[in-house]
Amino acid sequence: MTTHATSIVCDGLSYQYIGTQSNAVDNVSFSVEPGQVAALVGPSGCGKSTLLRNVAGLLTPTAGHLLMDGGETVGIPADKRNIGWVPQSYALFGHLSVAENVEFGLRARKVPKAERAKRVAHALELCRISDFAKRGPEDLSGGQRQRVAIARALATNPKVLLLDEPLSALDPQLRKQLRADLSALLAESGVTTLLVTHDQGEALAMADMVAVMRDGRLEQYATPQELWANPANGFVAEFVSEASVVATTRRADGGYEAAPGLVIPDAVGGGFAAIRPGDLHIAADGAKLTVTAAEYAGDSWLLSGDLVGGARVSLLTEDPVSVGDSIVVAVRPRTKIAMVKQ
Amino acid sequence: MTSTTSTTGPSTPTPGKSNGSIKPTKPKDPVLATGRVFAWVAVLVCLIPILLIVVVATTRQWRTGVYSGGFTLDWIIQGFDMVAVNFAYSFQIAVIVLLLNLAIGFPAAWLFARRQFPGRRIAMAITQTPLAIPGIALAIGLIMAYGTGDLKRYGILLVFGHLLYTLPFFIATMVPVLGGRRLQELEQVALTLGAGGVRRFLTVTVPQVKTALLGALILVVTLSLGEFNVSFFVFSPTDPPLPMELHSSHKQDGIEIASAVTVWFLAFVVPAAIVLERLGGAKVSASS
Repeated sequence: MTTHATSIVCDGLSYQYIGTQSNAVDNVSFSVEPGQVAALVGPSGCGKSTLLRNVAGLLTPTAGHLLMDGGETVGIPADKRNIGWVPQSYALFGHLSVAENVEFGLRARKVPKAERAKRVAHALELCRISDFAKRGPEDLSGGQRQRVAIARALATNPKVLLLDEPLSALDPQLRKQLRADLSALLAESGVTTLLVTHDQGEALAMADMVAVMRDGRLEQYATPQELWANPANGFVAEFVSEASVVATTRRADGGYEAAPGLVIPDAVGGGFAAIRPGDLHIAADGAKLTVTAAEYAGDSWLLSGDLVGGARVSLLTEDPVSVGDSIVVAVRPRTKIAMVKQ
Repeated sequence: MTSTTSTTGPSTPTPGKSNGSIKPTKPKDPVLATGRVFAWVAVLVCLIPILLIVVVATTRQWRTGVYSGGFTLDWIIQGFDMVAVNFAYSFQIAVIVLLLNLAIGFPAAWLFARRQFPGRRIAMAITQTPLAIPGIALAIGLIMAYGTGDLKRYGILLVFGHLLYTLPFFIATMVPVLGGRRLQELEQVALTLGAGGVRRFLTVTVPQVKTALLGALILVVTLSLGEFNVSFFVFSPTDPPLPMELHSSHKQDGIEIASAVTVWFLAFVVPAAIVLERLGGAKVSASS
């Protein structure tokens, strides 16, 4: 499959649904380099699928620009954009076989028969579904259906692949397994990909760049590592790393603490500390924490509790602790706590 | 070498015989049993007139008793000769009505299902009003509006009347199917794959809605073939449709002939109704 990788630029893109007062996508700007996988993450209703539909051409932006390979794409009909769109349900054509599904786009583009056969075979092979070519979609498992939908999208050599929650219809175990498969498949195809997910773990694991959205706006667009290390604000920290965002106060020695005894190392200028569950440990010296919830997670316990002063934090520990117990916690050695704006 | 045969394996209980094992018994549900009786009574109430019609139509002399004078197919044969022309005419009308439903009803249903426009709800309600208006009122309205010219003589008024009567059923069946989110998503996928409007319609929409569409069309044909109320006022006496011939036969001919004509009427209409029932009504064909 000869994929010409394409860049995508969203420049001040907005979309407002008819009859609503506010933008579902509000002045969003970011760019995806050719061949990159960019993930759009955010809570339900944040506008990520609407943004994807704007890129696909299924919705027309009410403002802003969408550039592909530097060319304005707003106004180009969806059937002329050369986009591969895979919706959450996969939307396979139930009246066609797997091979016919994959062939659909090639027929629509009037690709000659011999070329069609070659490209269908390649797409089926790439997605490892050649054995199911003659089956109907209803005879496939969830994971196989997902691969058929991706093969169908890739068969047309799209400029851009748009995946809307590609793993959410799968059970958790299969999802984890297919996450790696899908990443490998995208890397092999080399196609520029926009991936919508509400699962931050999925975004961090699969994407080169991650766009965090809230209420239609882009909160941060960065690499997974940058998002983790330097979240732009409390929302990003909470959403991406399940951090607790706690206000810090200045200590007499010039340092900062999130609660009496909970010193935040390297906190410059104060503000809010994004404390992740993995950042804290039970220590001899630190801040007092009253455990309010303890969840068993197999190899560890996830404890939640209230610090003196009322801030709520979580931590992972191997020691079983009961709800109501008081423990002393501190920041783990060599841990960098991200400081964020609220 | 000696072989031993186990005699302690699991034994199979013999039905109806007590061998010590507990026989599973179904608890009797009085509500279910009573419901079953009522259901069968309802079935019989529906079937008795039809069975009676068949018996009368095959009895030589019904006035003197059931199968008095013996069994005969003479009335049935005679009845066929009487209704064949009317059936052909009714069928012709039904096909025209079907095509008009397709030509007018399908785009209208698509519009109602897919587009938000000012007055959509009112327009939808108006298309459904013939369902609420009695056929007789509809027919009188048609006569008053268009009944004076040649429209009645050439059967155009009859077609129009049947269209008015069937269109609401067709639209009501197709709107939810065409408005289904899944169908729209399939069409959108086809669009992003490069399929233009005609290709999308023919290769995605039609295959997905074909069951519902076929059901709606059979419904239209069945309704048109059996329609009486509107037809009574707007048909041309030179070309009576099938129900009119049936009515006329019951008024003028012997009961045996009238029954034979009814048998043929049922023979024409019931298979379509059975197909309709087998299709299970309107639904988008299952797809993954």
